[in-house]
Amino acid sequence: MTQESPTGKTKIPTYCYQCVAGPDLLNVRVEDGIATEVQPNFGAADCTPAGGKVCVKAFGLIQKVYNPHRILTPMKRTNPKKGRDEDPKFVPISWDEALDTIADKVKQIQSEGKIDSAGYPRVAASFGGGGTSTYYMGTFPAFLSTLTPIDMGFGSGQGVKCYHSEHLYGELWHRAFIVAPDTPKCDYIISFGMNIEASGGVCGVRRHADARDRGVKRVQIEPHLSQSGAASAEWVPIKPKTDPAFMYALIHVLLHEQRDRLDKVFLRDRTGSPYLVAPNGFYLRDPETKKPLVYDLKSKQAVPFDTADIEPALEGQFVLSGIELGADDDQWEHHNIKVSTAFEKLIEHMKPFTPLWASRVCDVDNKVIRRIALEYLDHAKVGETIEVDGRTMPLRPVAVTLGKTVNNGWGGYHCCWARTMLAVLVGALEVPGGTIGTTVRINRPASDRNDSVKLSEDGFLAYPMNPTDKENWLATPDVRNANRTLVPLVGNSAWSQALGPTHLAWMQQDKGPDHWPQATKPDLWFVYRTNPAVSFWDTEQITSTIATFPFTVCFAYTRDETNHMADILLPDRTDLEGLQLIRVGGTKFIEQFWDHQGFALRQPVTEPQGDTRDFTWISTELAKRCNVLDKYNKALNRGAAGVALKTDKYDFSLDVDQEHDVETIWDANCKAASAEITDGKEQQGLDYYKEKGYRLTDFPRIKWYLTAKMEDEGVRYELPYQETLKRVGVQLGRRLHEKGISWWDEQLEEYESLPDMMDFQALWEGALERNFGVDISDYPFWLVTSRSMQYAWGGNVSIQMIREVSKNIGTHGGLVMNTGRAHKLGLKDGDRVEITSPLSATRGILVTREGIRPDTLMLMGQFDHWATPFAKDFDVPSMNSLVPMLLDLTDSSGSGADLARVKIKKIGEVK
Amino acid sequence: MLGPTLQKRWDWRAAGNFICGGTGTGLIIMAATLSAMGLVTTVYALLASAFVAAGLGLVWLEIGRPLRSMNVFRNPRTSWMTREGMVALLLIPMGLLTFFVESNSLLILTALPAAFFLFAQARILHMAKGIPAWRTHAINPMILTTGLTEGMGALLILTGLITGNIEAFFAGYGWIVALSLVFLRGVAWLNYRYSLSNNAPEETLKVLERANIVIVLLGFVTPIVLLFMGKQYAAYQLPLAATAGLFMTFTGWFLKYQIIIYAAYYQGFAITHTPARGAGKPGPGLKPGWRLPQ
Amino acid sequence: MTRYVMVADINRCVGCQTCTAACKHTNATAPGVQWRKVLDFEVGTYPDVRRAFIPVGCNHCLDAPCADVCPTLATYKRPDGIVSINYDLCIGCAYCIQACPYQARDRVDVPNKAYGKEFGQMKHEQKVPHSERRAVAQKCTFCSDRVDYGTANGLTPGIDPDATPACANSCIANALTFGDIDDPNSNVSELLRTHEHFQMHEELETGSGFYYLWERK
Repeated sequence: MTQESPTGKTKIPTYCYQCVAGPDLLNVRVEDGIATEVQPNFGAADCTPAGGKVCVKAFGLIQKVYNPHRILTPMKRTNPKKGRDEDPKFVPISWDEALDTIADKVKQIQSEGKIDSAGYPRVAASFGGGGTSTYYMGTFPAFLSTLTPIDMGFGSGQGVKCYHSEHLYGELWHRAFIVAPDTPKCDYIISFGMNIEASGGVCGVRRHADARDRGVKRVQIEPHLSQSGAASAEWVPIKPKTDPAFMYALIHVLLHEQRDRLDKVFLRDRTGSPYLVAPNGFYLRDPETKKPLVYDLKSKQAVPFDTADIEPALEGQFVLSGIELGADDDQWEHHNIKVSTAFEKLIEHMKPFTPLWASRVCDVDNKVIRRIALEYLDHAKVGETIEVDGRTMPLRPVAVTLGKTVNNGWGGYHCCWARTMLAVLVGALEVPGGTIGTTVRINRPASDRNDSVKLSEDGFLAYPMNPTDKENWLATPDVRNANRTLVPLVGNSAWSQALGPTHLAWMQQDKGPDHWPQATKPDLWFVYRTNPAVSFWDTEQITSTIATFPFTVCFAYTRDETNHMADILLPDRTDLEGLQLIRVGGTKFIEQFWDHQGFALRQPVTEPQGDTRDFTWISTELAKRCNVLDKYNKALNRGAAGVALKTDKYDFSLDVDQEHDVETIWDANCKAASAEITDGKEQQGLDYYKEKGYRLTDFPRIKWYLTAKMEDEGVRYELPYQETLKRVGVQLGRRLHEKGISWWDEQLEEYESLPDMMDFQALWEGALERNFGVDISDYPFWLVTSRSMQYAWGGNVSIQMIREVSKNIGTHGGLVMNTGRAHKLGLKDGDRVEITSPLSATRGILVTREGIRPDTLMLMGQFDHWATPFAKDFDVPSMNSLVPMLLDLTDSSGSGADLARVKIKKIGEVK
Repeated sequence: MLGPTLQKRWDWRAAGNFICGGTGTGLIIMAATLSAMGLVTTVYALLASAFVAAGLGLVWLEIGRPLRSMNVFRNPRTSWMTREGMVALLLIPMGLLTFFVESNSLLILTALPAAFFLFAQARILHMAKGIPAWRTHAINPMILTTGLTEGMGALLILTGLITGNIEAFFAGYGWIVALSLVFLRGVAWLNYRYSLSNNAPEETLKVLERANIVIVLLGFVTPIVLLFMGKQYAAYQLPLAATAGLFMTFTGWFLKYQIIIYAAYYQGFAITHTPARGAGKPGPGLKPGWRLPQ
Repeated sequence: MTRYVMVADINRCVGCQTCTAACKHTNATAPGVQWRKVLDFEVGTYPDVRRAFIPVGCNHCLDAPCADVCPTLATYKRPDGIVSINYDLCIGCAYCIQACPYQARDRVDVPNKAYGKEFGQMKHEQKVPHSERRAVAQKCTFCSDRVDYGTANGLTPGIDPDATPACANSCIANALTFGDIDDPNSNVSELLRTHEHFQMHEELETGSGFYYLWERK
């Protein structure tokens, strides 16, 4: 042991949470105070699911610190005119001036009233990265909590670029804001465009690589051959937005060709399949208890679903009596009427959707569809069990995953329902090897989805639906995207506003719909780690809207397209410069399944650059200057920074009247964190976390699956039949119609007990023809997008190294088109082309590839920057400027899908 | 990016070394050969040495660390670049000495290191395994014959310097030697192209295809016609021979410039199989940028 | 005897470029220079198309063409199979660059400035300038400093992170494995025994030390 390890003497532990597939722990090598190298944290190899490794994005963090394009002092705008073509004329100012200006604005708003004339909050805030910005904003949430109400509904892609339908329906059916395969045990995965290799982060990539090594068969069904398609056993090129038809055909094969092989025990005991459906589409209920009835084969009579020692019939029609409870106060009494089980209804519903039918819709051979259905069933191993943490559970190693554009917008409901049904039919929901959820964001508590399992009166998972009854419906929206008014499913958690319909907030700024308050502009808008002027749709419109906001405060890393319209720029310390403790482990987004849980620290690894400040310092200063220091400290004590500082087991609470420095605040949080996970026994502070980087305790694997909790609590999955949604839809329709609103009627049609199939391609085509007066045949291509592993969520477009390494992936260069199709059109790889949608046009380089359908074009990532340094020279177009925000293309959950129709024209030769 | 890309690391300066080195050594060897046929040729040794030295000078301008250039002599065991450098140490002084002492014997003796130098240049290219246009065996006769032809060409351009040489050239076997060299270079070129026909990146083949007409017409047909005319029309022997020499030399330079600068595509990348992904089946490989699979 | 090689399981690799980035960090390579990178191959025609990601870099050949041609002995073969460069001997003639059939070598004549001349060197670029590498040949070293440290301190290269190349350490798919092929019990020997494999440009008989696993036996 004579020499120093070449991996470096000083390594500082921290975390990377740039994308929702994090967090991942890492070390930063530091030489004489300069960060030189990102390395895996092998000390955490055994307690993190990804072996202490980080993905390519984390390696951009060092250039992120030293990037010469950074904004290093607070700035203010001196050109009062805002617009893309206006030079903001930012000039440096002191922190005092910047913070006082903001505080004055806040105090003015507080004194004049927090709500404006339209009933909307006067303060708005937008954060990006699927909530990951929270892991970089220190105690800012505590400061914001003193300003409530705040409109968090100006999205930057939420709802249209996330797995929106999955978030909502996933939470409804099995507490799954994100749905994943139990990859370590799964043998067969049908992936509809889920680009896990590009968006699954380190855990996703690692788990699937291990699974492939084990011999998993993953079938990737998507219009272009993504990185995940590349890594799959089979690629099935499907027409864009026809996935529901494919899935329905799979269900058809299972129900109508292989019914005897399904998991009937699971269907009978763990789902609403045996519930009896009355003529008006609601459950037949017991007149006394109002409980849904099932037909007991033992006693040959209808009994409430929770009667002991019964054997409910799964299939069949019965002549029975009972009551039916509809929307609002609707009630029907039935005597000796014919009723069917929900499962029987399902069988009937799925009858028309044969593989042959689907083959025509999807442009996929019907033999392929049937084969996949049979392979799925063969691999499901119905009847097998496995022991997890001492408990015997079903083993069903099959899963179905959905990607972006498949699980949002119209058709998202159908896909999510069909996917969950595919799991339910073989008993593969929330069991080892099957389709499982990872986290909750609408249900509570967020820290453990098992604890969110609550029994509803009807025997299902209780769900915090926004009320639609006359008394409690929120008739006047309280935020500009009207989430609680229009979308009962979105709930009312801290996440609900951001779940949208976020484009409604933007659309209304131009012109609101009938019988609706004209949306006002927020008097103060905070923006952090988001760039809606590039990342939302109809970017030209969004950009002009942002330019009309009177006072915008952007926490700014570099100049960008959104902060081009800002009044104040605040340079916070970046990922490797700031201090923050976060909760890690358990089960989190995407495939973050841990065997541990606890806390990890982000800490400065190098001197901060310029006059940047820690986010917690900024938050405390703002609280002080806005005269809300006590409220802010109280919020911290309650746990607004991630950990409650005082419980009955420990007390590390901060003096509420004092201003506390950054280290003091996080030291208290560290101590509370240690105490929380040791039941008050230990209280390691900041020094411990700085040294070690994290503090963990065990997380039992049985908690990966809801099954144990569901069985113990006697809870059923509300599948296949959607009585609750049907009732909610009718009620919501009545409420809206009572206000004279008919513009949400198409969305209301989606509240179906068993989702009806639609021609989703025609829906898009019709909407575009109607709204733009075009002949859609003039726009012959479907334009889709795809995730970039190197860029997604990273906010790293100005990082040179990321650009350099991402170029190794061939599809980053521009508009991807099928080689054969390009040849027929006389186009060559490298040609410069103009891409025109009914909304607008953009330009870029043509990239020809074999791995894409001839009728489909693809633009990867979200570029098209015009203000962000470095990125503005990429010359790579984005689909965002081409996609309109249309009510017609918004589904009932308030989401849309990344899909456009375009034509292309050559405008230049290969250089 | 996957397919062969053009090498950019050796530019006109490196090409200049092969041009100057080939012509200079060819000139010495031809001067020695013709001296045995009665021509007075020791004077060309000066020019030849200058050529060789200029070529090495160009290389010196191209290397990254010119101050360390003496390290070039460290690997005589396997590196032809070392060997080229070493023999140059012998060749250039001997050439100069030949010029000053005007000794035919010394000239003939100098032809030995010159031949070795020329051979070393051929082998330098031959050993560059990364570039299919260079690494073929056929590069050796190609570089050797063109070097000699260029040398002969240079001598013919300047044959008027010494009275009586032109007559001796056509009276004796000199012109037959020149004809033979042009012919042999033509054969070497054919052989070179043939050796690459299924064995080089498409882009390399395209470059050679484009160069072919120039080389055949100007480097093969034209010098042969001119030499025969020279033999036929005694009155015009000097300009005809000089013109033939011009074509012989410049075609050689053109040829080497094409091979070193434009045809020098790297090997590129290739796989023999695409992997079995999970339970999937493996698939075929790919060698992008190559006409036929290897 | 010992011979270190790299094994890439192309069933596992997803082309994420984490190894590319990790190598750039560890070796502070210049903008545009990647000692390790992953190529994106597309094979076949629609709809029968496959896409494979292929990590490439120096193959540390047994019969290294670069070492044979090097006039200065700057490039040399170590007893453990690693092909190294003594930067102080190299004259930057670039002959080795032309001799390498894997396009693994580069020569960079200017200091690293990722954002171009206009913005100068960033602090970390100044901190690890590697001026010894300026204007001479450079390529993947198999992180030989780590290997040397490991062997001197009883660590196993390919197993212990401090003795393992940065690319293999960083690989999130565990697609890259480094180890001693002469040890029949090593990690790489085990992988080669249990998988079908190929080497790139085998026909050139370089004795490549880079193996691609394409199917489990």
